[in-house]
Amino acid sequence: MTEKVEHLAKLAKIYFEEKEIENFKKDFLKILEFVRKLEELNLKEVKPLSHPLDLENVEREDEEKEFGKEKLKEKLKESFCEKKGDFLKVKKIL
Amino acid sequence: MIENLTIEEFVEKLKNKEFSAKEFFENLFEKIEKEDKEIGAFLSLNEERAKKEAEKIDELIAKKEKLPPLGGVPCAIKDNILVEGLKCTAGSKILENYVAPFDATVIKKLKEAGAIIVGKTNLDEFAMGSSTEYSAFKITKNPHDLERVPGGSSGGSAAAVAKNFCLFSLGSDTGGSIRQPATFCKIVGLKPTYGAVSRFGLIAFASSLDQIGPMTKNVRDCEIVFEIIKGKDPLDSTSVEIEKKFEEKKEIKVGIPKEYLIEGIEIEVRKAFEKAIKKYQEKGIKFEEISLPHTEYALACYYIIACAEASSNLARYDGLRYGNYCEGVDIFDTYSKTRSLFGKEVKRRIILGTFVLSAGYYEAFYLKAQKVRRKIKEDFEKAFEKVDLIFTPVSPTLPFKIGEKIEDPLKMYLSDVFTVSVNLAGLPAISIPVENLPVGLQIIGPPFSESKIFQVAKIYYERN
Repeated sequence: MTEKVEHLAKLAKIYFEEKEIENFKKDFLKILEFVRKLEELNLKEVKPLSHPLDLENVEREDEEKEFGKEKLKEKLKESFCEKKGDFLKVKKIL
Repeated sequence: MIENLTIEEFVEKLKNKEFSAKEFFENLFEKIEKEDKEIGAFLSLNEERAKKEAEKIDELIAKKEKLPPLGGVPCAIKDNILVEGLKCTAGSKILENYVAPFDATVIKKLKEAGAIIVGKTNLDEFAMGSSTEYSAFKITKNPHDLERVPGGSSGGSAAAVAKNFCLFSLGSDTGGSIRQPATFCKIVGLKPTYGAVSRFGLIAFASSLDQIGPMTKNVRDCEIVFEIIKGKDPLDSTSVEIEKKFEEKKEIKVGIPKEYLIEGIEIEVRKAFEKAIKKYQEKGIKFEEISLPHTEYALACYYIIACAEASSNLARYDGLRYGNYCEGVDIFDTYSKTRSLFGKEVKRRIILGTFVLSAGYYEAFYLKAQKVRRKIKEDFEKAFEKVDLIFTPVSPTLPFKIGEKIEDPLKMYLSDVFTVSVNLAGLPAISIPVENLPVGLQIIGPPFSESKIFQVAKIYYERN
């Protein structure tokens, strides 16, 4: 199970200390046991429901739209850690 | 003075110049400065701007111009709702330094209606919790008993209203986060129908369950605030206009689900609930027992769905976009080090969500939970063919002690056992305090039946 939790942590991109993992595992097992309760039900014919409203996917043209003022762009940039002019810098991916 | 005022009385007194907005807000901030040290309702205050807004309201009155419906009314906002220029932390270290670049739609509407924001209130990190103890910054105490929790996750918003730091507040409710703290702090809280209020500018936890709603001292105030914040918003494609009108029926039939009077419900809660029903019976409301057969599966279903959605929604906190970040050797190392800033409960839920969505487990957990969700919704639909509204308690227990459940996540989750079904089915529900105890009566209605819920909630407080 420790390996399993470590794998999930990796998928979720969360770093854990070794000590943390042990405690975490205990809680995780308890919660898992609890949600397994759904196994009691036979739901073969039931259609899954992902949303309370009958919604259809909303599509729109991929075009630039005015939202707020020029100020907004500056504010959005402010919360970004690295930037140069209008470019936002991220670490290299490949 | 603020103690006894309703929203309408407050605006009326301002108009009649019984006091000025300026002096009112000066006194209010003095009161908060003095009293919030003990309570911890606020994470940040908006003092300078609020005082300026107050002066503007006084100018309007001096010029005898028409005052907007919430002109000068002080309100508090849960710190997961964006207010332009103010910090919005969601109670998380990861957003410690994040300043909201724009207003949430509900905030835009409140500002247009003349409301004045006093400050941002404490919450469980990312609204995940039932006691406000999972906030990364501080705990909030229950104003009625300082050894106990105010409930959560909108604990700060509930305490701010109960302590008269404002006339109303906004909270958000994903599984009970407005109704349960409203109950614990003896105030009124509404979780609107899914889609009735725009979620634009609400920091997402579980998008198919989240709704913003008002927390107030009485039912009429709740109605006033709801009328202002509701409505279709082009910036939230899941929002809808309420078109349905409910006729005022002479005879109202209420269902009591037999599955809700379970073992484990505290005797004081059961007694107060039964007394409230008796009061309604005396006022001519008819009751009958109904069945919501999938109730016992609701909590497990809720935690699978809420965590799945959370794990996806919280993927955006990668250290690049919102302020706080921890430098790593490469991009993945930066991600995981930054994301280790999440608190314990948030990590638990992200991991559970990642698990139920991962290959090999998706069908057994997430898909199954979605099927149970349909059954739960159908249970309610069937019930509403027979009855107009459903009554249940809000919380199975009275407010618990600070620290009592923090080490046991399952115990904490059980606080929501009566509230989560409403979110899964997308229904509206109000919590109103009964018997002068921290016990809430939950009134659940069919989609978009808020007006009927308010009508029936008011009956409880009418004198015979």
